[in-house]
Amino acid sequence: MRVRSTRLWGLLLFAALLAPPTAARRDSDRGAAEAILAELGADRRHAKLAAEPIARARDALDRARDARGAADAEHGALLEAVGRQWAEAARDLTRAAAAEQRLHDAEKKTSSAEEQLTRARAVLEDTVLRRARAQAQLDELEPKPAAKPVTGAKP
Amino acid sequence: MRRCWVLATGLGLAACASVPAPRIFSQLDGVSSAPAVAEARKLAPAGVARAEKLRQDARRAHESGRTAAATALAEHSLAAFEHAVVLARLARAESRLALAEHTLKERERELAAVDESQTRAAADAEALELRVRVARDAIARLPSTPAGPDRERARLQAARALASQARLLCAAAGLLGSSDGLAAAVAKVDALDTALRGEPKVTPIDAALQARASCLTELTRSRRAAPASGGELDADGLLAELSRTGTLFPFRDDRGVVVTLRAVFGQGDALAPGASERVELLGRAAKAHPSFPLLIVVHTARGAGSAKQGERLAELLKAAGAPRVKVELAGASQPLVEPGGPDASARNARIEVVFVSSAP
Repeated sequence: MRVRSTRLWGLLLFAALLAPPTAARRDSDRGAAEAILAELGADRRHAKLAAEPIARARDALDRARDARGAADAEHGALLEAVGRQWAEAARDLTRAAAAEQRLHDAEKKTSSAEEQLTRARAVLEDTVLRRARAQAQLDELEPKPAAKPVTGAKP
Repeated sequence: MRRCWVLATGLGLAACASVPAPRIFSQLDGVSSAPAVAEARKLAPAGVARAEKLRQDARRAHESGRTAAATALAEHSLAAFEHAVVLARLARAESRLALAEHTLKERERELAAVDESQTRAAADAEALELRVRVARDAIARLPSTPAGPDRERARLQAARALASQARLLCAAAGLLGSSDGLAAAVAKVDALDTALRGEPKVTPIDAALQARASCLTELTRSRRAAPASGGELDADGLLAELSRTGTLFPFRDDRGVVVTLRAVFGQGDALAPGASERVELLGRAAKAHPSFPLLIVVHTARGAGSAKQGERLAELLKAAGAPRVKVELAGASQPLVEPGGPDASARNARIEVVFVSSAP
């Protein structure tokens, strides 16, 4: 029984060692930071805007690697968290810039719609006046229908 | 011995003194009190709270002598403050964006409502204006008194033109559907034509005016009785569509949308070079807009002429898909320029293709 249990633990340990480290990495600060930086690397439009926080994130990750290389795991983990924070700041900076661009477009469209609305209201006012003029002319030209004779009250 | 004692005391005091805080702490103090962070406290409070916590952790690490950890935590706090400022910027932009999009939708809705009111008001105004024109034409004028020979000649010409216009208006009314008074109006035009053929000494100009007014009234009545086109193109839309072809040059009159064709036929019944494209365009338009029946009017340079070319054109248009076509011969009663002048024949001889409008 004890032999079987030891074998089972051994198998589990072996499987854990063989399992790809991707999932764990993705959850770690370094993994998250690197994923964000890769995503930002593909975004050429905001490259200049987010250049500084990206550079800071990379610098922190480099120092974290050095710390881990020097067997300073605690300092390495702290610097990885710093790298992740800068990477998230860079990502949200590009999101803010994109939202501001959408805001600019929406404000431009609103301004154009307001101009159109002012013009359309002016045209409508003219048309309503035109209709009133035509109605007045018609009232003068067309004979009014004769008034119905007033009938007496029912007995 | 005494010296050693002093040295030992000095070293002991130095060991007890606090280690100076790294420079990043003063930088962090500056950032945390910046106006941008003050604004971020309102718009991104969680981000600022996280940064403050990291700052406290950094202080504690420094106080417990873990300088490297304190520096890393301070650096993290600095990044968190910057992140909070960015989050505040994002929140501000998204809030303003939501407001701007709401305002835009409101404006677009208002614009659509104003456009709809404009369409209705314009249609009402046009209908009323047409009724005004009809009512004005119907007003009994002071009877015309006999005039000199030149004036009478001019009146005769005008009366013939009015009689011809009356007949075309009645024909257009008939294409839209017969109204109660149409037969009487046509009878009035027939009587007028008979009188005008007899070369009267006193031109019946008043009768000609009344005949035209009667036919215009019948056309208006037919239009009111005609079924709604169900969202189909109106006369202005058709005018715009035909104008876009660049070769038809349409215009509007009381009857509807008119396209004038000249030199349509060459030898015999064959279409002249270049005419087939225009005829094809007209046929396609008539097929696409069946609520506009076609009235073909043949105008000649001189004499009564014949409707043969008009009938041939009607056949071609029907073959191209026009559902309803009627031919009328106007002869030389409606010249565009004084007959006898240079190029008068070429200008006066023409065929009008009228897309009779069922809307006022």
